[in-house]
Amino acid sequence: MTSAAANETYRAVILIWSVGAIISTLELLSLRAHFAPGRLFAWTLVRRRLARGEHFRSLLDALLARGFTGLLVTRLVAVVALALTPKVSALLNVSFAVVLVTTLLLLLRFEWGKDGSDQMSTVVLIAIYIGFGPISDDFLQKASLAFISAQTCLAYGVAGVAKLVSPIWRSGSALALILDTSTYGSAGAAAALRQHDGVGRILTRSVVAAEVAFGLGLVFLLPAPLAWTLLAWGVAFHVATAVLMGLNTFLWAFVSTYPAIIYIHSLLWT
Amino acid sequence: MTIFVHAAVVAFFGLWLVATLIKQARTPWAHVVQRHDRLSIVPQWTFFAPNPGRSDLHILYRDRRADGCYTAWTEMNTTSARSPWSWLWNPRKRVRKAISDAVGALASIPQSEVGPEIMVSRAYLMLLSTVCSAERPVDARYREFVIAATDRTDPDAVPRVRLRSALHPL
Repeated sequence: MTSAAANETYRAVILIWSVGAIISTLELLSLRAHFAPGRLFAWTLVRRRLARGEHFRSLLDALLARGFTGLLVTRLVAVVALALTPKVSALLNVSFAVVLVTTLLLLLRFEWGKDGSDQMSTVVLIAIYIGFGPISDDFLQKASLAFISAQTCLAYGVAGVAKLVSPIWRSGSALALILDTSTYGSAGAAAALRQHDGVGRILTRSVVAAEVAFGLGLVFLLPAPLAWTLLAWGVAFHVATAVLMGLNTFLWAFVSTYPAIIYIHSLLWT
Repeated sequence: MTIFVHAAVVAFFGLWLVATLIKQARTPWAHVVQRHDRLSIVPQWTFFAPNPGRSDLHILYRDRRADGCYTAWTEMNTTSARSPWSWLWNPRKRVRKAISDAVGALASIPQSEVGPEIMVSRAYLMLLSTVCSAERPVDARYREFVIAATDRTDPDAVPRVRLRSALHPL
């Protein structure tokens, strides 16, 4: 595998990742009112957790309270620049650094309200920065793509095993129960699963089976057509959870890791 | 020089993977990882498992007026139906998740250890902030709130009260 293949993989990862980052940044901008004093995400509450030393506190006040909208706009511009800059350049390095710093600051800003897509986005961003940022070389590129692939398999594997030990998931009723909530559900899908409970059981158990398969590393051990089937299941799964459960940013965060998996699979099979 | 950079990166990625593995089980080691992970970069991957969320959380509040009478309970708009575009655009999920996380943090405290000091916890203060930001009558003097969980699969079931606040001056 050439460095060109690794660079193409990087472009694919960063393009898919950027879509999710743009959506989540715009969503945060639309929630600006919730960041005001006395509201759900009031800075004064978060500050109690972080406050250390006067200078650090003043810096955080400036960035995460008074300048929070500016921080989000800066991140948005930097993500767009990162997605649109194809070749190694000063602009790419600057955008990369700005996206990384603003992402880490956002992690500090939220104690609650983050989800798995934020976690996977962070994993991908930090790893890809190490592999393809200013200190990039052939070894670091491969190491970062291998790490992203390993975290993805770990994510699905842990989720699969946690479901496997759960009687509700093993019984096949979990999906119908989740879809019957207002928070993560879909009234139409829940009603359909109630009418056809056999379908619900098959779908629930297929989620457990596929996640465990990822966890066992089958996506690397199986030959290309079968491995791609597992990835196709992953795309379909995330599209379904976006449509039925409103988990819109999981799709971009998790699918952005698939080019890395394909790259590592190709390394192992050639 | 390069070999040291490579070794450092491999060690960093390895440590991150090990920390991620440790964090997945509810052990004292997981708490150690959590305590040292100030940026929350070590993920928790047990989505909807082992216990899938089967209930919806509702925040209700009422005010005590200047004459001592209470207003009726009002529900905050936190579980409103998702828009048809939520597959693409769903900012409200972060609000719902924050409330659910805060309630989860408070619920995780053993009942025997719950005392008035819970009111200075960040989770409680966050919920109180949210509730107090809702509109109020001009003569409202105090506000209290409850977090209740309902189960759509059992519409006849009585909502379970997960948290009842003290009466707070407005």
